[in-house]
Amino acid sequence: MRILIVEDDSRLLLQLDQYMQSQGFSVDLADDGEKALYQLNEYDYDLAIIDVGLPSMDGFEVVQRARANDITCPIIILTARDRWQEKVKGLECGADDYLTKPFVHEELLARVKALIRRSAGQASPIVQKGPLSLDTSANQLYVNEQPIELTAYEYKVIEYLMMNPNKVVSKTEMVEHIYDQDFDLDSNVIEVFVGRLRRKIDKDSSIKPIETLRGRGYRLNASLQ
Amino acid sequence: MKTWSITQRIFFTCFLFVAIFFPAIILSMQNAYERSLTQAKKEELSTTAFAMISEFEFEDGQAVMPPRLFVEDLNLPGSDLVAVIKWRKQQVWQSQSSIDNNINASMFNLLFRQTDGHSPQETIFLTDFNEENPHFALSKKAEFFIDGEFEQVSFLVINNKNVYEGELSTFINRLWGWIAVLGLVLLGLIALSLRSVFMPMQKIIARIGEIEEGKIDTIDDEYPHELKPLQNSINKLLNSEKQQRERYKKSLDDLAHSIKTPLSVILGQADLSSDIKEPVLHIDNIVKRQLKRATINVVGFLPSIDVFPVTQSLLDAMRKIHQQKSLSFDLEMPQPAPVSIDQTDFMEIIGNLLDNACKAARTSVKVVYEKGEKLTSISVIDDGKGISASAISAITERGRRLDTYSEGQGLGLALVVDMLESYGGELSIESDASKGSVFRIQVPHLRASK
Repeated sequence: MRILIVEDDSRLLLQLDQYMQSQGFSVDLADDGEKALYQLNEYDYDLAIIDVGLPSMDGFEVVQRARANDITCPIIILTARDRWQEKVKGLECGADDYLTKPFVHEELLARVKALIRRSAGQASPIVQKGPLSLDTSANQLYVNEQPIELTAYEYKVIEYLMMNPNKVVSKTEMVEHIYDQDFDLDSNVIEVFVGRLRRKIDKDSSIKPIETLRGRGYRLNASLQ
Repeated sequence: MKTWSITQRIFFTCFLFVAIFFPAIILSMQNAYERSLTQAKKEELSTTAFAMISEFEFEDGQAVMPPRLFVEDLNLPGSDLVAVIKWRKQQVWQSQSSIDNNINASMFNLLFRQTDGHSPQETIFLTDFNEENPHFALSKKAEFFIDGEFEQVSFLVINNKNVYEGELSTFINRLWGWIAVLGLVLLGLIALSLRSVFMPMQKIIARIGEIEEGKIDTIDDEYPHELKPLQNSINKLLNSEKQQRERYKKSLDDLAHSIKTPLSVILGQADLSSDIKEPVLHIDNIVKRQLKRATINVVGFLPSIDVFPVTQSLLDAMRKIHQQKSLSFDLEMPQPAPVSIDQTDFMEIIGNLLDNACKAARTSVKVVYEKGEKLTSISVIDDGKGISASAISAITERGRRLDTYSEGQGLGLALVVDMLESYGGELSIESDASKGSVFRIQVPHLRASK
């Protein structure tokens, strides 16, 4: 899952970057409103965390203009102003949730995961697709209730596919969602991850969790819906 | 003691003017009219005497007057005008009009005695002859050549004052009538002009009332140029009050931002011990509470607002925030729904109550607006598990944390109570484990000045 964090305080930005990366997210950063809006328009994020008090353009305006440009990803606003007037304003601008400062990182993580699930149409933190079960709060995949050991990137690939069922995901899109913008990776690496995932999840080729659509990309097996 | 209104003062002053000046005008006009009438009478009687002199003749040592005189009134028995002629202290002739008349010989004798001494050049005119029953009287003498000698002959004329007095009193009555009508018309016109003078002022006062009720922000109508400075000052005052409040809020926001971001950084340290975490959260609570208390807007001029749209915004926000609970929301509120409160404070109070209600509710949350005689009440009703009586009493104790609900409610409700107190309002809570809770706020219509 690729997320954008917009915060003008460099220490907090760095902390959030490290924390969210440690939780398995690909993180892009921006420290002012203009850059944030540019990145939202340019890249396809799964979620954005935007501070309200930003230089050049405040967070409300970023959200409002992003929504006007048909950016539909879930947005959480961070605000030091904890008045309802501000919260309501943020939500009216198009944000999906708010978090008031100071907050503990676990609270932010819980909100982020809940919003990503909600945008995938999932109410529960457990995403169930046939024998595959993904615990998004613990970043753990189960197959027939057996935990499967995955690397961080393997987890990101299967999570993205399971959160976007029915969707054909190209290698480029996959790269964009599991890596930060700073990485310039060959998309062929996705083939490697998919190959490893198939071996780990489906040792006897009975489930066939990931379909390959030649020249187009990958899709979660429709029979698992 | 009751103070007189400006209209009453001006009207009373005008009434005094009318009451003093109009009678004075009447008296002086009456006086002038009386003088001219008397002068005319003197000339009339004098003309009568001259006519008699011209008609008087001596024949054979006897005074002779024609049977029919030039002055018609002297020929009519019982008329107001009677004349006699005296020669050698004897009455030698009297007019036909003396027949059947109150003016008799004794009155002429009296007049003769009073006026006999004057010379032929003089004419004696009396306006109040015979005090008991005043008459006009005129005495004129002429010298005639009789038997080789010049002898004086007196011509006496007496005129009843009835006609004169009738004419005068008619004039005076008409004068009073007209002046009274004029006075009333004048007072009416003054009342009308006062109304038109005070109309713009009353309009300004009404507009200020509308500002208080929150219907308008500034006074935009056209006013006479004398009132423009007042209008501008009021608008400037309102504007600077608003800006002041906004500046104040903004600087508090900046303060909040500059304290809370570092607090977030501290809380975000990976290896933070609870010895540090708890004081940091405590600092946050203090900052939060004090900043909110500092922004309670009960200072200065405060118009009332329509809370319908803000309540609707809050409900929309709640739908988004508590989406996973799929609650149904119900709003029983007229449009507009005025409450005498600052918008930010209202949103804070109802936002906190609604957020708590959404956390507690099983399926639905309802907001009900009621306008009483002196208080406006807004109830936030949930169908949750309810809260205990001890928890209810704890809520009104400031700052105490309620553990019944999941998060942060102690501070939120303490702030709600604080804010309501500043507005002279209060929070009441009814709760029933089977039905849920009702949090009702009550705010006075007109804010008592602090």
